[in-house]
Amino acid sequence: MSGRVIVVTSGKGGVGKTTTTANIGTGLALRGRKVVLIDADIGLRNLDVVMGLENRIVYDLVNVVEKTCKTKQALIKDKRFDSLFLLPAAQTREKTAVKPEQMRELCAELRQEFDYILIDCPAGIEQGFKNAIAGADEAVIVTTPDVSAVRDADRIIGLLQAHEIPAPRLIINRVRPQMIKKGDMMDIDDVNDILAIELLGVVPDDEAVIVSTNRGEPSVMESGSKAGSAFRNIVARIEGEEAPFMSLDYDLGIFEKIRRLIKK
Amino acid sequence: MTDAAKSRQDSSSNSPGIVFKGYKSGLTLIIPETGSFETYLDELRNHLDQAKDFFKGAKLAIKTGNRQLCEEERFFLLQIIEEAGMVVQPTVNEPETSKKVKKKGASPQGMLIPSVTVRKTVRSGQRIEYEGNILVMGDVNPGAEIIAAGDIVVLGKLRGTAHAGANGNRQAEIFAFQIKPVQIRIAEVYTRAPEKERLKDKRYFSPEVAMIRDDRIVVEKVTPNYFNQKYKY
Repeated sequence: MSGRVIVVTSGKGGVGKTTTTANIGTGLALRGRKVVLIDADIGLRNLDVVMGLENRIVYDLVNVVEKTCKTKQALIKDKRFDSLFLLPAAQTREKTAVKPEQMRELCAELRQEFDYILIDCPAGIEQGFKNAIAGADEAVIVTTPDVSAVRDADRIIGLLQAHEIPAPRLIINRVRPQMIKKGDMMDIDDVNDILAIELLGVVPDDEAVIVSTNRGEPSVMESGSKAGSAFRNIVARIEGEEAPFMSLDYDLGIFEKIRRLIKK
Repeated sequence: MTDAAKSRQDSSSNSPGIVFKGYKSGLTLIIPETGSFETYLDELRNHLDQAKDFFKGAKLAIKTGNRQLCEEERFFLLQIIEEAGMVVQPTVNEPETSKKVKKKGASPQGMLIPSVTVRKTVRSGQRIEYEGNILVMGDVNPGAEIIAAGDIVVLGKLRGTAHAGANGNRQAEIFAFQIKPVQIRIAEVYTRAPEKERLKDKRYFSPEVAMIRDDRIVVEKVTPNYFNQKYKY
């Protein structure tokens, strides 16, 4: 068996890499896949908190690459799914504690046993980024529809090309239909126009995500949540299925509705 | 041009012949490209004899257009001028002169500048620098930099920073299917995109060109007869 190693990256911080990693991972586990999440953000780990597994960490990524423990010992089993594991980052070390070759080795090892290895990449383009992408076959780029996040995503796409990771796919996170409607936010076409890479999904801005993140329960499990269903569609697309892009239906107002009716 | 100087000189010379023009930096002697050089020398001599006091001590630039002077011709010309007590200047910095240079720059010499082709979209943080022309077959995204000693042609959208004529060539031009850059530079002149349109992209898509005109960078659509008007052979 040879699993897929996917790195989730963005360049800019705070666009939702960690939340996305947690949700995709949980979504894949929901479908019965064997998944391991690697938190590559050494020194600023978050993925364990989002997954609600903070209190179970004994060993971490640095222990594994320094071989002070076995890989199996550092893997934390999720509390909801038996097929979902987390390899946490070290909080008290720095990004330079891990080298790209070590990450490549680790990914090769985990690939034997898991269907998916998801790597949560730190923000920035320095050592941490280089480590995170070293062992990856594919990349998912997360951006929000604002100028600076798109700019950074563009930079990352260029760097991934230079590292010969083919065809990254894009998730546009925290989209607010109301703002797009008013013309205050870049719409999907504007983002696509600049980045011009395959779109993996569009996730609406949803307060439920903040609640579930704080509670340590990824929103992909909540059937009622808009963001949750967007993540389920993303997971389906990662699995190679056709999933509809959810219409970001906002209330058009009576006049716009009539205008569209007439247009048809 | 000082009108007084012009009228005084024009009135005394018959139409096809040498012309004196007055500029702020001094006088310019224009010798026609065609016709006998000897005749023009005689004409010049007469001119100078008629108004010795006016010409004495004046700074004079000489323009001969496409006429190439041989050593002998040059010697006689300079002798006449110096006898009249004038100081010869190597060049004058007036618009008419720079037009002449422009014409020369657009001739075969201009085509021989080396070019490089970039077959990809140039993304943020990427920088392409070349001692010649740069052709990009793709977009240039915000945060990317294209720096060329010659011209820049983008077969896509130009939204990053572009610097043409980086070694000081003011005749350099930037072409793209859409020009909406962060910043454009040609030689030492630079310009920014208007602030308003920052968020929304232009929806139209037609070839545009950026160039220096009157010391400012202008961006305009490339009309079907753009090159016809530019190269009037």
